[in-house]
Amino acid sequence: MESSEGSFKKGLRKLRKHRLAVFSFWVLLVLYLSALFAPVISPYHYETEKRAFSYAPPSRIRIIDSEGNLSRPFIYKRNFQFDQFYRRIYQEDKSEKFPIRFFTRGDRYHFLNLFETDFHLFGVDEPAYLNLFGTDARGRDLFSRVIYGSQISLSIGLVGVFIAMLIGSFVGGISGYFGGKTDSFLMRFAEIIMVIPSLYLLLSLRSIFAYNLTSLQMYFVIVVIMSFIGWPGIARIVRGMAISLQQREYVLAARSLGCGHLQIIRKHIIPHTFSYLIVSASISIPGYILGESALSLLGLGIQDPYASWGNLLSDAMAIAHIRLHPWILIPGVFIFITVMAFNLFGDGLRDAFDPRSEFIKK
Amino acid sequence: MENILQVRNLHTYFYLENSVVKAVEGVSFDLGKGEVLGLVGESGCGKSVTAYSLIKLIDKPGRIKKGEVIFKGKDLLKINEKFLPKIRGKDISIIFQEPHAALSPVYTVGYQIEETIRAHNRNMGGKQLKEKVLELLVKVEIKDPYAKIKSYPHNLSGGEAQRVMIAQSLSCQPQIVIADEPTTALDVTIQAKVIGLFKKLKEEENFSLIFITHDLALCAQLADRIAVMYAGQIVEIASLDKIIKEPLHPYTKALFLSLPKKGKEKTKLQAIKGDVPEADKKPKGCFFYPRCNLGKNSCRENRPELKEIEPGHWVRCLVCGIEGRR
Repeated sequence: MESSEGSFKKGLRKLRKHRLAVFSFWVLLVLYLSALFAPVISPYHYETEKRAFSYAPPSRIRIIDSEGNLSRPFIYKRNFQFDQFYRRIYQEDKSEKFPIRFFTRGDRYHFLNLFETDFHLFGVDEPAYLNLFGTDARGRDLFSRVIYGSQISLSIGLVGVFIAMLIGSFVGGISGYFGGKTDSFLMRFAEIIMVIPSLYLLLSLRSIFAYNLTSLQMYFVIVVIMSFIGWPGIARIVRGMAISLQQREYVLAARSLGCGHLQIIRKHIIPHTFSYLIVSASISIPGYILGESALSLLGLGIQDPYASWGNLLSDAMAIAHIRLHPWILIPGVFIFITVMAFNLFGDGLRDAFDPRSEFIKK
Repeated sequence: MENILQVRNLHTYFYLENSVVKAVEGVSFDLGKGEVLGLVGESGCGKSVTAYSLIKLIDKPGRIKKGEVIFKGKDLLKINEKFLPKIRGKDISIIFQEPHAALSPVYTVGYQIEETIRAHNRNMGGKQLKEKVLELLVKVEIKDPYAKIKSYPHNLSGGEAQRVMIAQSLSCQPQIVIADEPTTALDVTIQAKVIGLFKKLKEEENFSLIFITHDLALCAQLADRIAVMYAGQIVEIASLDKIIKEPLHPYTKALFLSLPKKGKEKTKLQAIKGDVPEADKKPKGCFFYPRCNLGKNSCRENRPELKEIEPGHWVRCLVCGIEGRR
């Protein structure tokens, strides 16, 4: 369990050989970068709605125009007519081409609360409406909302895991180090939380908090709930490691040199569990993303007009909608990709860095 | 000589599920200021447990049942648990047997020494700390101290790691250093160097040293007085000269007979018959009785006390004493 430069480099080399993990790493990097630059990448603001484009299907991007000539990518403006069931049927108006412009101007936004700008990576001129993933009921661009939603969905995993790790490693460390009654008490408490099915616990904890929260408060409520559910698992494993670490001679040495108990837990027990914690973090992040999705899907999480992948999916709860407008399932594809990527990356990390995996291979 | 530490009637037991292991049963000794006391005995005779008991580093299932450890007029076994960390490392420090196990693999050597200093001197600045660490590493004669500060324990050889341990234990100018078999994990050439280092440091720092070892010859190079332990008790304690020239207790005698001697290389070494009694199955009378060649019937039933046979020479034996000198 030596976390030195040498073994770190060795682990990194092993990780590089794990192709799926490397690929997943890049997928995650792209996702997180796009979350960071969401306002730039998305052509519209998440609140921009155009009622005339309710449930418009994804725009067809063409490079060959009606006369059969090759041209730069463009779309046609769309108009709708009602059919006999009063459903909207969108048709392209092929009279005018609207080329996709890069580095263009559009809706104004605050970038990372630093400055205000209206710069967008791409977009089209009005009155055409560029919808890569189609639109929702109120005519909001689903692509923009998915990108904005990734800010919440992706960060909730990181923040939630971080808090759960903090609590879990601290409680586990204390429990394993002191042992005895402290250990029994803390572990029984952790087990009580673990035996309650997590969805019910999630819902009942959610009901403790008020319903009319601002989006920021809501975000923190969700994070707190999720990490409250997440820490016992971590605490149990850290406890096990702490029990064995506590018997190491350097812990005795630290005590003989005058270190206090808490200092020993903080400096000589928990750091030794880092290799496990990092691996387990990457594997448990998907749980947090799914948990947020579940809450938001049930309407208890992030509220409209703010977007998260979960509440975008709540549109897809009616079968009729999925049949008529299948593109509203796209946020689910993003959840799927992210969860897969985290799992594969976590597997790779574990193979590369978990000291125990070496023994298994031998 | 002024006594800095007085240990009286120390008992440390380990309470296992089915038995009580009496690891230390009535150890008493004094440690003078600037003195080196060699604590010698076979494996499992309670040397290390004695050492750890001195600063109350005994964890469950172990417990210090009774006894006194008087340091600076206070009984360390009775003072509040929260003052102990202030004494450990500052006034009394321990050097461990396996330096690589006793250093945490995740921190640099420099950081670990700093940690000890910081634990006892809260307001020392970063630069001052660095200088102090460097000074300590120079003092323990480590090669290339500038580079070693930044290296991890596994980058060091056994001898270097032990020097780091020594530097760490000396970092707060302790008055008593307990060295628990500090050279056992090292090979003979390095052993000699480390012993030399101890001698030098003792001159410079003037601490008292309790040197625990199972190697009588090694102990003889360093110690002023030697205490011989057997089965959780001190059986004989005397100055180095006395114990080499006139050992009284049959166990001490047997120990010396089992050492190779100059000029007598051809003669067969004498082993002590039998084994150390298991700590939970000790004889009723004298613990050494089953292996003793002087044993009388009274030894089987009665436990001897540690008696001062002549000034500064204590022996725990019913038979020897005056008679045994003949």
